[in-house]
Amino acid sequence: MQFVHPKGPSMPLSHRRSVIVASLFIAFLLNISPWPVASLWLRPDFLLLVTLYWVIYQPGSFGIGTAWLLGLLVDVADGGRLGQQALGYAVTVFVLLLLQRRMFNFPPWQQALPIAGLLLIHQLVTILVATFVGDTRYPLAYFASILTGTACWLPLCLLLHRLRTPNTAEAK
Amino acid sequence: MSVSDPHLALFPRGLSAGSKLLIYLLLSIAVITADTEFHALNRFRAAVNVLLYPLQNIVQTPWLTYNRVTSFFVKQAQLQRENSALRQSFIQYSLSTQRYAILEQENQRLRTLFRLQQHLPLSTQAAEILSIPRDPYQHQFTLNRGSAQGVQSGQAIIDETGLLGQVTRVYPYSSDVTLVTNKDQSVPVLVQRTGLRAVLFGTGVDGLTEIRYLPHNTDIRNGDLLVTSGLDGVYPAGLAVARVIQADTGGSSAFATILCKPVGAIDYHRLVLIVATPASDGVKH
Repeated sequence: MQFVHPKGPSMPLSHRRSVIVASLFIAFLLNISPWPVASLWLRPDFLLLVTLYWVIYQPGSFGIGTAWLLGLLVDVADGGRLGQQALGYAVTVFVLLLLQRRMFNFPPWQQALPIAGLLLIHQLVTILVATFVGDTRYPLAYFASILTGTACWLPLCLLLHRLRTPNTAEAK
Repeated sequence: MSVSDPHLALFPRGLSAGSKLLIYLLLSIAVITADTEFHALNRFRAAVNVLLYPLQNIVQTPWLTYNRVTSFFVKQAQLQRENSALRQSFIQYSLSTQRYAILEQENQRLRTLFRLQQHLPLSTQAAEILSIPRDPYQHQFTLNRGSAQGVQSGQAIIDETGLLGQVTRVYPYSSDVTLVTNKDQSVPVLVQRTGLRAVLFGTGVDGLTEIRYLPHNTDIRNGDLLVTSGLDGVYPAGLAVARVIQADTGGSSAFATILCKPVGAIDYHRLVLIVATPASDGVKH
């Protein structure tokens, strides 16, 4: 067990709550916006990526519960089974919380590989739920969105890092 | 367990991440069961969907604006070409419509002669595809018409080529449609060439359906068109559904393996028709 946060150059920087809410809202809009039907397989889950970002950088204000609710929102928006994405989000965020200290200190390009693993966990959990409910056929193309999702991670990190402001609590 | 507290609490209180996960796992199982087995959360779905409807419309605007701008700067030559093509197809269609009207009259007369049940004309309503889920494996899409416009669960959805699917959930301003390729969908069909009746099942694979339980000596070939038979009272008779792409009647399995490709296709902002059946009380889940 660790009692203090590692002190580093990135420590005094944090995000405002409005930035967190706005980024999640925009990611959700991206999730429900039109996408070419032929390449539906490549569609990354923007909301999950932004959620993972906030779990790494704002673990205090972002936990399994929030992730579960966001997953439920995705379920309703997609008209899918209620609870499928919710469970996927919750499990993914749980695994990320175990890795959070390490991930916090990685540069974004080094975070990409664990992120790919987390996206794979998300896919596997949702497939598991679908299998229990009765769906069986999942081709390899289903996992293609992991690659596009991982490719989106670096630009996403660079964008959200720019929105950091000096931490007022730390400044006092 | 890692301490997920930014205020550096020495002895953080509250549940550990593991127990939180357990709680949400159980909650998920409860929600999944309530939704898939008992359909108990449809009111919750409807409420959230009413809130989501304006958002779904907002995200369409960039796409629609782009479409409007590009369609404004269209070439004169292209317009003329399209216009002449449309004229030609109009003449062809009007010819066949005339013949159709005569045939329908004749059919009605014959049916009265034989004292058969009269066919009622179909009433349809146009709708646009509003969104397609991120997970292509749901075999669903959302329409921009709901119970406020008189859409009912169980109604058939067609486009200009044939049957697409069936309305499975209705919200106040939108509705969910399940495609014929969905694993849980089945459509009673008729092989147009031979008049053979069969049931078409979704496979859960994109663009693939199959006919099950037909014996090996069935007369069915590649390219045969399947139309709805109208036997279930859900789908009106005579809508094109699928074309046979692989008819394996010599295999070692108990029944012939017959794979078919649906004729309809989906895309954003595609206009589809909601078919109001006279007796649309047979709802499938």
